[in-house]
Amino acid sequence: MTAEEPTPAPENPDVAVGTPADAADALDYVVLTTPEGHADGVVRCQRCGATEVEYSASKGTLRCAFCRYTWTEQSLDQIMGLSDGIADLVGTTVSSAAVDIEDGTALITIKCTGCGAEVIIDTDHNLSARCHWCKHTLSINNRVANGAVPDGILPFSVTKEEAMRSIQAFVDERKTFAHPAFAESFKVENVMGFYMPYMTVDGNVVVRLDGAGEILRRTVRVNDKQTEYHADEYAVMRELSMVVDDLIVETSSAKVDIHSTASTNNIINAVLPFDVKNIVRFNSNFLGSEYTSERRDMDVDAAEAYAAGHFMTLSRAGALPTLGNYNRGVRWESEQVNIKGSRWVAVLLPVWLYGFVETRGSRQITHYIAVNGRTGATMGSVPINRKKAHLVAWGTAAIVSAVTWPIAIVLLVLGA
Amino acid sequence: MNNSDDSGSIAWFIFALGPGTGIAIWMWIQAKYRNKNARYKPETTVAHTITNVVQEDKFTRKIVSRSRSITGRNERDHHERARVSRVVKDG
Repeated sequence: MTAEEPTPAPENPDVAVGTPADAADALDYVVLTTPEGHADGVVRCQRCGATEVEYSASKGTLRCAFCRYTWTEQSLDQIMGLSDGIADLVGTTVSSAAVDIEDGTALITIKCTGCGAEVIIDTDHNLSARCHWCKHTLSINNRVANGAVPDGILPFSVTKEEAMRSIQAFVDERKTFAHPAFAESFKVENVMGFYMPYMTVDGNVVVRLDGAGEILRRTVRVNDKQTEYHADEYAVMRELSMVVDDLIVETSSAKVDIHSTASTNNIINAVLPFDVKNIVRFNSNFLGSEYTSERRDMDVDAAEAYAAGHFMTLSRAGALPTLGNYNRGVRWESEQVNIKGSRWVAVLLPVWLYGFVETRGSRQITHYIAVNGRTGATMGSVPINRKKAHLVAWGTAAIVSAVTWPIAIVLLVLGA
Repeated sequence: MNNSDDSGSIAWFIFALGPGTGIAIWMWIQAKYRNKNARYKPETTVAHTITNVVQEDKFTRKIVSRSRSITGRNERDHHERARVSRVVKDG
């Protein structure tokens, strides 16, 4: 990673490189303005003005470390009406922080409102920093041009201890054939809490499926080894309208490819879904010092392809009950999704992650064990001790063959 | 002749038991440890409402086949895209 020149501190980060509306207009989006959150810079306790605000995952509240006042942020779904009017959506609507990224620079400089010092925040990993002069905690809470700040966040409710227990239990069930380097270096306390970038998508779509289906009429046994199946073939078409509420799509290009051979991204994908109805207006105090955030680097245009794939998956599942007559099955040859309207909201969702890099020859594969930071759903990839697995698999095969092959030979000889 | 064919089939099946056991153990280890097929299943978790279902089923021809099901059967493979897959936006 090369060193970057700090971005010149803007007067107001929200308008540094054009307003959300300007960016949206250029790409035919309609902007759904997210209600204003806390100001950037020092965020103070609402009651006593202190800046030491902590988030408690076990209680789900923000808490002032000085006066112990607790509060929660409002549900984004309620204040923006995100469950309403999905069937009436036309065109592409994006929330304020979901407009296209205008500047990929990760480092953002803000002025400490406590002492005036300039503080650099590396938004690739966090959205707050401590002023090195006056020690106030500074944070970015409103939209910035590099897409780092979302509209909403779903705070962790699974604590680190609970995640550690889940991961330990997962690994304990997979000790026999675990790669020795993994087993030696495994320290469950190294699990880290990440806020991963996603978008929630509401969709008003029409899907058309075309293919062929067959209905068996009669079976004819030709001889002992062959059977003929006499069937009627049909051209099958299904078209359906669908309203989708809160589909979740990854917006990190490093994580969106679940077929990657370099890292087991499907593991992080597998701990979805989240209870996105409980997403609250973004407040960087939810990150604190315990969690790290990852910056969104995909825009709606790129994420839309993945959302479209999910829309088609939903429609294929929805069409299945209408295919009962086709006892020989259906072959879908063509599928088309018409996205009449969609609504996108940029969010950060909580995941506990344990990572291990396996080196196999010249290749490196990153294995993840992930715990959903809200539901506790756990999934993982544990690297395999391939030598031991081969030995057991083919050793057992040899032992079974040593018993069965003589019997098979006798049968063949007698049969001849 | 029939007995000979039957004993031949049984013999080949017994031959295959050993290698088959090895393959089954290897695949079980891969599945349990790597979870390569684990993924988000929106069809069972995402709230969605389907309306205005239009169905067309047109008889095309009679066929005789040696296989038990239609070639390329995929009506239950919801995550696998069809040969032709398009996205349009006319909202």
